[in-house]
Amino acid sequence: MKMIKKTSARILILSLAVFMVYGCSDEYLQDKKRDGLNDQVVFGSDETASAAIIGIYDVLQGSPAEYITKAIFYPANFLTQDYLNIGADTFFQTFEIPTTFGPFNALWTQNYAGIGRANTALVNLDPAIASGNVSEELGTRLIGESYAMRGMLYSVLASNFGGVPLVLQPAGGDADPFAPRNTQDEVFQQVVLDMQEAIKRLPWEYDEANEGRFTKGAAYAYMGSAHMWLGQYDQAIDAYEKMDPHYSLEEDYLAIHADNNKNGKESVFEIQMSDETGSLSWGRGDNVTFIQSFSMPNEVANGGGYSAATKALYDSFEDGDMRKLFSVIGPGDKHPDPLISISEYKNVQEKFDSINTVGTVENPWLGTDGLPGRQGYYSVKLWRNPIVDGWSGPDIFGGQNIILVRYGQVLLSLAESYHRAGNESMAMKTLMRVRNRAGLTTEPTGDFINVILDEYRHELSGEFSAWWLYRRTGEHIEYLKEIYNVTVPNGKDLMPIPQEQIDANPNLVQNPGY
Amino acid sequence: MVLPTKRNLTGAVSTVSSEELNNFPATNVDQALQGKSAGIQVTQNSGAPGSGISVNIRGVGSFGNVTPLYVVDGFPTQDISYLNPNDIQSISVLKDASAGALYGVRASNGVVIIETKKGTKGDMQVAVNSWAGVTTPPQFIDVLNAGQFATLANDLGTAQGKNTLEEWENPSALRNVNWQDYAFRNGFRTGHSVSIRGGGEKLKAAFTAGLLEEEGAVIESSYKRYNVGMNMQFDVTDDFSVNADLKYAYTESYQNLGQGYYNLLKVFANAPYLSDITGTNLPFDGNGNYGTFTESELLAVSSNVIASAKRPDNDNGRNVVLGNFGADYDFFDGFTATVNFGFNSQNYAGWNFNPSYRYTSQDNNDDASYSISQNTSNEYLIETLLQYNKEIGKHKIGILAAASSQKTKFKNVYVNSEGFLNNDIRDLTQAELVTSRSGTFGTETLASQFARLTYNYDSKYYLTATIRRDGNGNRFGSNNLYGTFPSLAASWNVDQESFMQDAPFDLLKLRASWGETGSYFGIPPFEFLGYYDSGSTQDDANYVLGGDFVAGLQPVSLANPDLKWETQRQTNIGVEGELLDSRLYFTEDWFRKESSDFLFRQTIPAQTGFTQRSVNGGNIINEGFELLLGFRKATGDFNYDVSVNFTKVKNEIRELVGDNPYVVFNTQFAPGFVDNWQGVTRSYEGGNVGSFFGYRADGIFQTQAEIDALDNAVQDDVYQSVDTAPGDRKFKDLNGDGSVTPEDREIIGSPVPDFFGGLNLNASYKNFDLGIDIYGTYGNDILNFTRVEQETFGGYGLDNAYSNISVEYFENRWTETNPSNIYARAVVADVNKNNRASDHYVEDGSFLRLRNVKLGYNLPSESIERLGLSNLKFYFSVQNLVTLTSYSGWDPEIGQVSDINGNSGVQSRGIDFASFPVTPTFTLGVNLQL
Repeated sequence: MKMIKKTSARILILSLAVFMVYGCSDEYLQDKKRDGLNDQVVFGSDETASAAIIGIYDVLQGSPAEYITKAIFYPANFLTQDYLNIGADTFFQTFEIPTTFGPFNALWTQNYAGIGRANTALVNLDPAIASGNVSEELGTRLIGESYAMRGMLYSVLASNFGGVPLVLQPAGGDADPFAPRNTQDEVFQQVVLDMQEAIKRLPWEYDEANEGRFTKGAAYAYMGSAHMWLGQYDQAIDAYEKMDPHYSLEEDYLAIHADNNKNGKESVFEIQMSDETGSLSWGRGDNVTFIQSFSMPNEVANGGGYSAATKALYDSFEDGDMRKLFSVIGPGDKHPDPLISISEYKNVQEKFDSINTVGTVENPWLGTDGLPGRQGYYSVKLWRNPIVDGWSGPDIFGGQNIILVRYGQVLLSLAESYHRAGNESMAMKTLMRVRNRAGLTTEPTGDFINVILDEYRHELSGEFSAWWLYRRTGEHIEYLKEIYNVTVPNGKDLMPIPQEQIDANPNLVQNPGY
Repeated sequence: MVLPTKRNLTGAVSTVSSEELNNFPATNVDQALQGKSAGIQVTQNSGAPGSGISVNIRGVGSFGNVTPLYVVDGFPTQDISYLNPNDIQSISVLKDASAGALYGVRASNGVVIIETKKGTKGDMQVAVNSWAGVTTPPQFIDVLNAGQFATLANDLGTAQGKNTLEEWENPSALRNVNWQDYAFRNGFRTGHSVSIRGGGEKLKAAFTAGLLEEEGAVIESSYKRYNVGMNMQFDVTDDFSVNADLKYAYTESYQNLGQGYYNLLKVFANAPYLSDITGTNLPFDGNGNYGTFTESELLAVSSNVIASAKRPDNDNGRNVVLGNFGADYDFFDGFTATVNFGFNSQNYAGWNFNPSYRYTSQDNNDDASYSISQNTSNEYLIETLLQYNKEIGKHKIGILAAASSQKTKFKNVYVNSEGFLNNDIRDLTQAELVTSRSGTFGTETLASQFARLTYNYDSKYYLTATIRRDGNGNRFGSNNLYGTFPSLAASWNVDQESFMQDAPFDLLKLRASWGETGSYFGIPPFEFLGYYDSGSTQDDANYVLGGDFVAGLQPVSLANPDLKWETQRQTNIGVEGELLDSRLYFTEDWFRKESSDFLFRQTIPAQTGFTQRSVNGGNIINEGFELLLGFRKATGDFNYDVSVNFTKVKNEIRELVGDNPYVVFNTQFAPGFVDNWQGVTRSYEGGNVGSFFGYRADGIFQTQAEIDALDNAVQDDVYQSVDTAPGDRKFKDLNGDGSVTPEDREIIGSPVPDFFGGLNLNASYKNFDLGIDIYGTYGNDILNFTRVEQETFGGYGLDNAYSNISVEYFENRWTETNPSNIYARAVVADVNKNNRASDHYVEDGSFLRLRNVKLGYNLPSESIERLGLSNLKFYFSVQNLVTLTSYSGWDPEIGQVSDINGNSGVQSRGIDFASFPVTPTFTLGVNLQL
């Protein structure tokens, strides 16, 4: 009996020992990751490779408040002084932006996330095409889109911050994670190179299902602008002229930002949004923008109205300039968009006698929240989506596309380039195309750079580019002094490198003045 | 009581017995350990029932997880929250590398060996332990009442050109609400345990059962746990024995009012009154009605957090089954073979419903939300050991060879949905929209082989050598799967030597050890791979093309294929002794623990496309000294055992990877638009892990001339801010460039104590017994964020809102007639950023706490024998009755805190973000034995 037990126990132990040997094989040990896809899989088929490139575009849909509203609209407009922050970010009026201003860190982080995604795609797509995992036609276009997006993201960074580190390889390999800043010129030279590569591979237009992707035309627009930053006006003219057969101005200025005119004929590159599905309240996804609730008067939704236009902007339009009331409305003005009736907003019906104007001359709408600064004037361009109720909801966020570049801006840039290159007749002719559409037929006189700055202002105020176009002329400091009598403190026309990034990378040197 | 020192141990081990643990009516085992042993720092992260506890053995050796490994009846695990402290027989803490070597893979943070109660040979023993207690609210911090608040708001707002509310003009009409009154209550807790133990020659068995129910001193916080356990030991033959152990636990845990900015901190910030909009001007009227604030931006930072805690409907439960089966077989001469099989099976399910309501444009939830989460994990362990022990004359040799593997399979599902027709629906199919979801499955595997050689000569000289090879399946690439870790220890029982015969020592032992252990804890799984996902609902990787959604993929981690095992190298030298008939006893250890290649997620420059990356980050050294000193008497009517323990650990980062001489931990303690409380901890080379980082306050500006002088001395004419005015806080220009910029921040404090320790007394006189536990830390700092709220009259981060302040600040703040040099002026818009993170908010966090006083009375045996009992004892105890501290907040005991995004770790310790305070508890109990 005892012997049997001993034997069986030995067998038990031996068999377990055998099990343990198996148990310690690498195969037993190595766990598999079941969620997510690794990069071999991602660049292993058309579908997944396409999705990775969608992921580059997706960075433009960063947090609706932090990215588009505060990191792009704010500097593009508050620094021109034509729009005012109402609330805690009024420092844009004095150019004393704190280095800890969170949205600029969001801009930096999001843009570099996109640049990193593009870098990874650029390293992986060629081998994927060579090995047949990704079809050549699609893969070539995806490479073009990756270059274009990288250049575009760098262009925004350099416009805002000046020189930033040029990271052109995926992180993790030989790329130095602590690289210092390059110069602004070096960054724009890279934008030119990226756009050259993109232009070789991108189509002029897409079928409807792909509308919104980077086109050859958009690449020419960013390339032209980069040349202007570099003072290379002849090359800028070459780039911009290539666009002419493919783009035209909307006849009606109001149509540019109409809710039912996404990706219209004047649009060159816009951030694609949608309010078709999902919550438009605080639980929203990231395919929406917050900016309309910031732009609508506080009185409409008992909240909001935190980016308000100035009376000075309103008053600065020439007589007969039809862009005026399509850009900004003030006391006694109706909303020009047939889709928007001020009198139909619930709060207006309850508290403001259902008037159909943004306040009246006697009682301008200056906000009911006690915040100082409002002058009674509001953006039209970003108040176009009838679904959005405004700050107090329920529908707070909307699906209006964000037009980053449109042909009107390209023509004005081209006019400036002609002037810089000495071709005054083409400069004026090109400028007049834009003015004519606004209902203006007289050729403006005076210093042409001032003329072009006035035109940038009246064509593009309340959009997503004005300040950077001013800065690109190099005359921005004088212009602000002239129109607003504002002195830009030394060096503060460049926005501060985010403190969090300086903290994370001691090799980044802050812009002077901060 | 400290068990007799084991002469044959070569490593540094502390032991705590069940009697010592049972003095304290603890919810969980870690809590009972506080102050009981040198070298172990136990910090209760919060006073919430069943909440987390930081346990730290011999300092912080990593930026990642520093939780020790627990071995429960032979089963290694990292979570013991489900154990009933009453079921514990003994706890041994293995502190040095050699002692922990046998438990290998996760031993680098120390090992806590827990043995639960086993059956014993002899009479049946039945024991019942029941107690009930009341937990009291903390000492409130006085804030302004409605009248004071409204008056000040009206005056300040008017003076500073800000809008004011009409209702402030008539302060006496406002009904005061002290939010602390509503957030806290008397908590009630009760625990009952039964154990039955007994056995004969061949079979010994134990059964335990326990019930614990606890309602915290904070509203809507509770914890429940039910335990059952069985243990059987079979001596099948003389040389074959089997041990079987099965434990089951069910727990529920609720904490609806969280810590931090959006929750408990509002008890300081909220306006101290409510409007009549909802028909009640109380936070909660007892009939299901909640008050709301006047609809105005001026009160935008106030929020009825009492309503937010009471409104949700939720339920959850966790089942834990832990089993261990082992067989020992002795064969030939001196061989033993052991096989252990264990499993830990857990499942959790919970749901939460947040109803829709709309009071005002600022107080509403338009879409009801309903979330469900469920997860299961099944972990099993197989271990085989072969031992050989041989005695040849005075030589004793032991050899052990073993292999073990442990695999966990897990599955999880989470769905959050919103938009329901009414607030009674609890059905996902009725939701308008699924707002987020996740679900996956996977495994985590460990495999090790190890061997140990022990040798002793004449019970005087001992030697232990261990080597092990550990493999982990989900942290490292295929080249670095395994790490190999040796250790060596020796000890000498000096008292056994002939020359010691006349010496007064009953025991004198010298120990020395050196060894390495490995760790993989600091980083999440699969960071050696780069992988992509489609993001979360609020930040997905999708885009829109042609008006339709298009699926996208985004990289979520930066691959680091070079990741390898973290190695902790520890040297320990110790001496133990007993004198005067073993009445005086001591243990003293010196240690140096070096964590090289420690693993953590490093904040990296965002220009890489990522904000964090897992790396082998450098080198941290913890060097320290531990002492246990006690005196006891165990004869006669009057018995006692009193001991003190003391630990001093010096934490120093020696080396960090990358171009930065420091590590930033990105925390956010206030919403994004508030930019002056970000990145408030840093870990520098040469410094402590998680030191506080900020500005140096330099008093208060008393005159405009003072400000002008500084402004005029600098090129841009601004020293601090263009809006600085008398009464604002002055900060030091540390780099001497004439103005205060982010470059003028430095380390302003450290959460690491200079030393900590405890005093434990157990005494009995005839039928009475007394237990006293004292615990304290010295020299650690607290960064007190709650005081920011108490000293901010404006809406924090907003220019046109108001929030409440403390009476202390109100009465001492700078005014023209009260030229304070400590408290800044009260402002609606904090233009000078007086409340930025600075040493003004750093306080001394030292404290000495009377953790427990327990007085018991054992009924005379004659009277209870008639009842058929062998022992009956009644006791009364008080926990946390007195805390000596200069700290101004609710409670100086602050462990790891989570910021508003849930980021938490060893780099965010000692920040008072309004965590639940540990408060006095009065307990009455009875122990009964048959």
